[in-house]
Amino acid sequence: MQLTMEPISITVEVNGSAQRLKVMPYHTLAVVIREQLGLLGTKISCGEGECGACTVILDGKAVNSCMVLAVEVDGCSILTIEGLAKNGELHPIQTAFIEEGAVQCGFCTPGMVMSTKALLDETPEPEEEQIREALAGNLCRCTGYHRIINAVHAAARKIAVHSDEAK
Amino acid sequence: MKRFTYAEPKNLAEVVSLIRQYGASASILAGGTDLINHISHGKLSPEIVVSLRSVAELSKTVAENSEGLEIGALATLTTVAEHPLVRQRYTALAEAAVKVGSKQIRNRGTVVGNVCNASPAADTVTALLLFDPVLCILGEGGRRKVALSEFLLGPGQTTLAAAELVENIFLPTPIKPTASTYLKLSRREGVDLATVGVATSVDLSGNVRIALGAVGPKAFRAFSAELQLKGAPRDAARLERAIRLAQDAANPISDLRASSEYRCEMVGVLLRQALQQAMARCEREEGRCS
Repeated sequence: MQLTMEPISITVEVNGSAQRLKVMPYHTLAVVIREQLGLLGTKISCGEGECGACTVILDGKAVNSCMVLAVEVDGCSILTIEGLAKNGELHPIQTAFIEEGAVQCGFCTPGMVMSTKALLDETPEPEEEQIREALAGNLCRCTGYHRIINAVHAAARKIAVHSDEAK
Repeated sequence: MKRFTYAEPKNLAEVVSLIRQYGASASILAGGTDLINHISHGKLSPEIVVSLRSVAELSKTVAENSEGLEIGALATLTTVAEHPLVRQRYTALAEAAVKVGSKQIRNRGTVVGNVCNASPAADTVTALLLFDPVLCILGEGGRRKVALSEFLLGPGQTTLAAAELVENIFLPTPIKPTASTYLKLSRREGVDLATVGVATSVDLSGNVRIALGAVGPKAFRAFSAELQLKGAPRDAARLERAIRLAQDAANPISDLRASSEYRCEMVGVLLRQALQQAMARCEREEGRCS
């Protein structure tokens, strides 16, 4: 097997579009998302899986992109905060966060929103306990947790209304 | 982060040849939730990271066979926590797996990785000890099987050699229907290591098993306390003696999470609660148990 400190080619779907990238073997997904793809919504804060600011959705699951090597996502699909709004319209989760006042300094918000997205995709009508469990790995140092939890409830209601209308 | 090269072997033979070639300067990557931190903190500085993600023979799932349950090397904590048979037959393990880290960590981190990391506070290790787990280890000389209790040596220490990897963990089907529970005491509910972890099981004949985590250099079974309760898990006087025996078996350190004395006290509190829960579950599921 050939070993190399050279960049490695990967193919990855980012927010719905296929990308061919050359990534260094020691770069994390978070670094590549920010520095190579220029998607700065994903934040790097603790860099060790404690704070959740770098949360993205990888093949349908919320993960800390600071603890995933970029080379490991070859062939995978990634959703970042930039992939939520469609045609200039915010996603219902984003609207709910704004309306419920769940954004203070905003640094944790992309991670909170992505954890919420992963939760609601799997569990459209979560109990409060399930919301707390899904967001336990996302820290908000403005401590706006109550409003964030309210926003998740509100987002679930909005998405339910949207899908009813679509029917 | 320190620089390293990366390899993604497609089969076990390639993995073994790589880790044999690089020895201690190779690190095996499964979920990465411990490894990436160890590298970025400088605790490990591998020349090469060998990813297991494309190894055809390694399983991402939990598989049942006639003798028991096999947890694949790549089965995540989420996969194990949500598996119906784990929840039903090895309840304490499901409860422990869901208490590790955060959702994001459980979606990447593996049970086998949690075991290999050999933290004295590893939730899944404490729970697994109830179920006679056997690790299947692959090395250049072939396969060997080792009981989890013998695999663990101390904090971060196992009998795994540099050129070996764990292929799976096997849990034999309990001889008698068993109800179990895992209780974790931590400073906050989410994303914290166990200050004390207690796993207990009770079976149809009143056989009790007790495993303690974060109160010694490795998680362990409290055999003398188990013996005290054998056949009479509801006997109040025996329970008090068993709690004292479990506390005597614990040898916790004092650290930022708690003092040694506090941990010993909490072994008693948690053991009492865990036994009550396991027995209540046993009674509720009369068809399966008691």
